[in-house]
Amino acid sequence: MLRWLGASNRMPEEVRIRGGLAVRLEGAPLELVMPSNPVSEVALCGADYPDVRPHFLVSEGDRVRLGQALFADRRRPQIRFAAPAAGVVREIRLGRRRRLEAVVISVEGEEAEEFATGEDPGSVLQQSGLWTSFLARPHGRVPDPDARPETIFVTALDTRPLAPDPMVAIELEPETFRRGISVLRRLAGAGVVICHAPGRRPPVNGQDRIRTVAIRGRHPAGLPGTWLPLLSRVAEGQIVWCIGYADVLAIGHLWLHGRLPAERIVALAGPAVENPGLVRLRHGARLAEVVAGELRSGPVTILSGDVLGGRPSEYLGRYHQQITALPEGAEPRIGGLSLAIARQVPGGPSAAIVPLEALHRALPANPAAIALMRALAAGDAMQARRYGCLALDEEDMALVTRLCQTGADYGVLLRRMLDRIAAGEGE
Amino acid sequence: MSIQADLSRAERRLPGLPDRYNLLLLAAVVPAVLVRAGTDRFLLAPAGALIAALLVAVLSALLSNRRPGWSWLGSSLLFALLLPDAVSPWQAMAAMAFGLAAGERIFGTEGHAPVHPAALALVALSLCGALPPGGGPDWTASAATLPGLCLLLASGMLPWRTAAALALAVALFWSVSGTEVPPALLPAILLICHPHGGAVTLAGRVGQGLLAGVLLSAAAGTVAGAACAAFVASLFSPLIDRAVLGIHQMKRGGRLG
Repeated sequence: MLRWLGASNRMPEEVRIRGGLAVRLEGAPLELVMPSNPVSEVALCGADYPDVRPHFLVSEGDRVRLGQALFADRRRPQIRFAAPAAGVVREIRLGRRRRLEAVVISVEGEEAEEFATGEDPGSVLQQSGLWTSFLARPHGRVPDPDARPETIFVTALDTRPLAPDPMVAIELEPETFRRGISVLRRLAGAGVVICHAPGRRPPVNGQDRIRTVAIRGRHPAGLPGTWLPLLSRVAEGQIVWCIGYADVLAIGHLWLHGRLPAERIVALAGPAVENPGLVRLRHGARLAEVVAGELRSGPVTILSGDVLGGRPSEYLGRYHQQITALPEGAEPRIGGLSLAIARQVPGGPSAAIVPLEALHRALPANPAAIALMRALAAGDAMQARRYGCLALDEEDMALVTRLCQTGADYGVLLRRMLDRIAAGEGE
Repeated sequence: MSIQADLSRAERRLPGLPDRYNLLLLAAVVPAVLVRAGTDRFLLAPAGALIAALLVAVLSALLSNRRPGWSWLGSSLLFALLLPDAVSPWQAMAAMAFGLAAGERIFGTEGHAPVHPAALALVALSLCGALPPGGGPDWTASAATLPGLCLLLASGMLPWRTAAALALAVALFWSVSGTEVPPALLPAILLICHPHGGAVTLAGRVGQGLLAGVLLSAAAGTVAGAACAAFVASLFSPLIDRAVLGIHQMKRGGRLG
């Protein structure tokens, strides 16, 4: 097994993740950027920022520019949330207890906010709304504005079912990616680690404090919760920041051009899509408009994100790089023969966790996967912490949730546990 | 936020039906119990055990305001399958009631029990001297568990590593000693490889299987020996897991997960 050796300049060149599961679903996207439908509406979804109490800086009917701050976090007002497109604020939708559901913008024009990038990169990212690109682990939340990490991990691989190949987007704008990485290098004390698929190394120069690590393995090998414990001490509480390749491109674009990019490359995929492929979409695009005319006939479920960790949504999620459309009731085929046999057996939900070996494969870097699931189900913070919950995020539990026969949502259980640990329990 | 991920997915399977593990367990033990009841005419004690298990399950459900579930049925049928003929009905009822109450229900419900209720019931009978050295199912009854047992292993519901390690230890011992394989071995696999009370790490399952195999072989494969092997191996499972995780942590420089 690998040892974490401390500083990022002693990272291994390749990490092999044993375990993982095959997730089979038709409709893999062609690695080709196709024209997409025009989108008349975009939105920032509150589901992407569950712990944010918004302090609104605009009202319904206001005209906004791309990159203009729509609201700030009440508790951390330096962190701004920016408009994904220029237009008019059509609706500010609030849910129970005034929680944000969505800020909907009718797209009009191409005006964009200009940002001066000579200052401290942190303050520029906060003002431009790109600070939310970072998710700090443990706890999987947007980091505090004054915080600075020792290491930033860039996820430049994606093993989710039907996910786009990140290198397609990176190779279209290699200089933008390099500029984004250099900005991250200024923020991180020890440096930047870029995790990529084997043989798909991003075009970064061999600079000091920038390392690349190839991650080999089946899903969920591409998720940070799988390889972070092997490359850091996050399970013991060391704070690391994670960012996706698409956000690195956005940061690079901001530094090169002084404004946010209007679009990003997203996969439109799934068995219900006529011609699955890659499209350029505005952030927060309205999914019904994106998929109009692209689907096969019959009732369809449209997910923002992948089939395991995605959610039915009206708009594309902040952290999602794919849209999955599948016929209603369709399920992916997960795993091998034993799970196929188990699926044929009828039965009600189980009262207890049946410790299938597939659950171990769903959390491959954690030998205590079942013990962790039991600790989460029982609400035992000390045991959950002991068994490595700090390294994980909701997306890491998606496969486990799908396989466990109790029907419990381990993503929700993990989030509650992480919030309790953040409040001081389980010390 | 609800912790139920997608109730439509979980309950798309018929509500009220046993879950997959209990259904396959019943598929394994019910034919064997029927074969044994038909050949041995051994009816009163098993029926008593079933009734006692039902009463305990219903009572604990009423007290805890939960569903009784289906685990009591599989446990009581497995207990009935392994029970020697010489055990009287009231002894069987008392042992099964104790095994289910102390082995499972006081811990909440199935999945939280450290030992198999049927194993605890048989161990209790053995400690009271009510379990004769011989008796139990013959090969015909044992062989009737084979289809269900194979399905449990093939579907991953029963940990194959535990079963393989158990079979290896037993095969090695009996190849050396030359004694014949007892017919209670196949039902004993269901007892020992109980998924809820066993080791949770993959290497720990191998250790548990080896330990149970050694104990089972040392007890010459008797019903009492099988019950003790299951009981002791389950009790030692957390320790085996702790050792496995400790080794894993050492290899990773003190990290886990």
